Amino acid sequence: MIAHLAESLGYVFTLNVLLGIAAGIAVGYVVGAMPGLTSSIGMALLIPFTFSMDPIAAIAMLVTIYMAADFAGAIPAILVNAPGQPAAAVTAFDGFVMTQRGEAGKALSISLVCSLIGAFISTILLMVSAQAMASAALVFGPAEYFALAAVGLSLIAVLSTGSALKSLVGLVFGLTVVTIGIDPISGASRYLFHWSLIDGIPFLPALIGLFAVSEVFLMIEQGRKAMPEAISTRREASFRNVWPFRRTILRSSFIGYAVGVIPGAGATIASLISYGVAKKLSPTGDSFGRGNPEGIAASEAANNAAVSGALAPLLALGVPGSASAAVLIGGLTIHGLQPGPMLFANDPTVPYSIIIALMVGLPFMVIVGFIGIPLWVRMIRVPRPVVATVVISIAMLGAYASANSSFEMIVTAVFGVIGYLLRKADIHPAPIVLALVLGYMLEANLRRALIAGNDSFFAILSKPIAAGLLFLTLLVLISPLLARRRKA
Amino acid sequence: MAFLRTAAFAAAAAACAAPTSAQDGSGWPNGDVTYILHVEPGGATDVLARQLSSGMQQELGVNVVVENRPGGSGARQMAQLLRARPDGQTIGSVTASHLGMFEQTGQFDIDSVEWACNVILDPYLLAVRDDSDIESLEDLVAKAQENPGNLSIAGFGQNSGGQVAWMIFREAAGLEDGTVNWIPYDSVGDAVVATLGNHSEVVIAYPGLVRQHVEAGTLRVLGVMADERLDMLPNAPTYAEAGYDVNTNWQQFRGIIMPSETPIEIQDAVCDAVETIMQTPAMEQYIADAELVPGFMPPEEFRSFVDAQNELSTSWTQ
Repeated sequence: MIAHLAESLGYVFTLNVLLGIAAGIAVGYVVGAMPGLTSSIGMALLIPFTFSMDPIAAIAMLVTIYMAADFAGAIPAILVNAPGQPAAAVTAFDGFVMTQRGEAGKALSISLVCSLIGAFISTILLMVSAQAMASAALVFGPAEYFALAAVGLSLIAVLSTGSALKSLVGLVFGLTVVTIGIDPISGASRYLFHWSLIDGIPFLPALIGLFAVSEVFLMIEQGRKAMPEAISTRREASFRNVWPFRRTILRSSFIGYAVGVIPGAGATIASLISYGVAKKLSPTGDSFGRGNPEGIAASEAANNAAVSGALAPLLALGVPGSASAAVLIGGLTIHGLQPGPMLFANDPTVPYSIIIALMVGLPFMVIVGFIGIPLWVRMIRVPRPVVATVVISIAMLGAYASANSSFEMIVTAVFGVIGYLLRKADIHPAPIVLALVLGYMLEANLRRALIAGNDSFFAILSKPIAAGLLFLTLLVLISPLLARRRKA
Repeated sequence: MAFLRTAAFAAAAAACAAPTSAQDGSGWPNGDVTYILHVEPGGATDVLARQLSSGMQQELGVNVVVENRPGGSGARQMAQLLRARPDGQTIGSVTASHLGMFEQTGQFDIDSVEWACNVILDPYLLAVRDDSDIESLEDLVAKAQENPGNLSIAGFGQNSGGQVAWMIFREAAGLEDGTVNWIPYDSVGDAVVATLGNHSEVVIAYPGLVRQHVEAGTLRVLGVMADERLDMLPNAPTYAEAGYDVNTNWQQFRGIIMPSETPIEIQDAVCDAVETIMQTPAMEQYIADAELVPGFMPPEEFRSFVDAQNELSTSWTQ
């Protein structure tokens, strides 16, 4: 490994590759900060430009976009409640509340430092454990995915702030929405009023509507009220600031990496799980969702760690762990490199160059963030009507860009209204996001597991990992009840 | 839906005003070509299309702009394509999954578009984990009959090309429905991963998705649904060699479609360009690297191939 690492170092430290990394950071920050434009779209758009580049530079650029986008996704989430990447929705839970309190600078700084730590730890983990973890990912079959989704959904018991009934309403609403479209197992149509719904409600436009557009409605409503006075635009990006959250950051980085490795789970689930766990374990867990910086730390460390995690099955098995990783396969193929079980054996410099490129890119991603924070914070001093106009324009543009289609804009608008009404009813978006992310995984895999087990639920319980996860689900669900009894 | 109507009017108006000069195909391409894909960026079909478009750019000297219109299993791309003028300046990607979509939506059918040419033709194959005790297709059949409902096969979707391929084999082998459980995954790739992880005993997939795993010694191919052995997998027997004679015409295809009533001369011009590009060293290298099986077909041949596919598909899924 060391020999290959050393050889790869030589490939990465060339002008072409370093320029590729710089371009990757610039593009990554832009697509990451634009709600609706995900890293996978940004990477796909640049693939044609890589035709004439040398393979290592091309791939370094693509993975840098992937990581930088996750750094940037938190910026609009914190400033205007419009997550730039889906996973940043979790960051918005606390980040946007902090902005409303005038602590945008602090929130952005914490997000930046925790992103860095999460990305750094997970890249090290990727370097030492890619092959071992990738084989572990294969253990996840339908029964295990179903149980994992159940654990995720049970987090509602922990995530909910306030009324449990209202959280349940949000959860059921989300689960109902994901049943729209063609049934993944039998092919039957469900709530298919028009053929454009055949694939169901697209997740990203719905998310933009729930967060960003509903926020715009609130801004309009409060139009005459003054914006929060920013207490500090000073950047406070220092390790000392996040030192109190060191346990959470470390734990979230490991959770993020592990969840990222499981193909199909991805950064959003990593953020949600790590946020739920942090809330449960933190002494200040009660204030999660009300502007607790530790919530940002948990979310950001995890979603950046998930990026490296998703690269493990890609490099070791050729199995994409996420949409962006799938685009990366396309990028590699163009350069005659087929990721798969033979990549480490045939072209070992490719995986190691990717790892080194990520490491080289990290400090520059931090510098961009560090320089940018005071500028971005100034954004919220802009008069509210202007902010509202800009946010809704970007939200609609992003929705359109996510699939080049006006159908997505309709979804965003409709979910904006739904999100506004739910917020008026004091229903938190967290359970809805949870259901939208996990509903499909839960249903499709439960039904696959039942087909394989000839409709017997015991076939699922007979798998140790699935049984363990389902037991954990039960524990999480009854834990609030137990805690209440202890207090009484 | 007002915006749709407006768009339709605009397209109709534009079509009326269009000059009728380039009917014989000699005028093609008359400016930039738009290539509309039904898939998201980054997958195998997308990358193939982008390679083709960069080849076309060099060959034809015009821009070939790739547009992704994913969603609706291809229905949204179809809607977009059908709004374009039938002058060869707008072309679209097509795969076997379109046939399933026609049936599911009832919105389009095989006559909604012109089937210009096919590019790639991937045969189906059956594979197991290397440590499986199923050594041959015969073993698979025997094991399924011995203990019905105990084996499961992973593949893509319901009523998909893969499932039809499996049903064709099942009938040839005399296996009853329900002896092997069909587990539908979201993609063929997912199905391969599930089989690698031992969550299903058998998988039905394409050569490019299993070749590396075969080389790495984790998967073994029981049989390829083709007339001859593949260069990519020289040790894998065909179905016929393994003792099961089936109709091998059923294959996964990736081709090019055009708006209805695009003149045949223009279709020919497009397909000639595609055929030339496919023989360039760069494209041949890419097809080999991406582990695809080339299968060029000109307009008429492609149309009759698709007709046969469609007939097979409806006879098996209804």
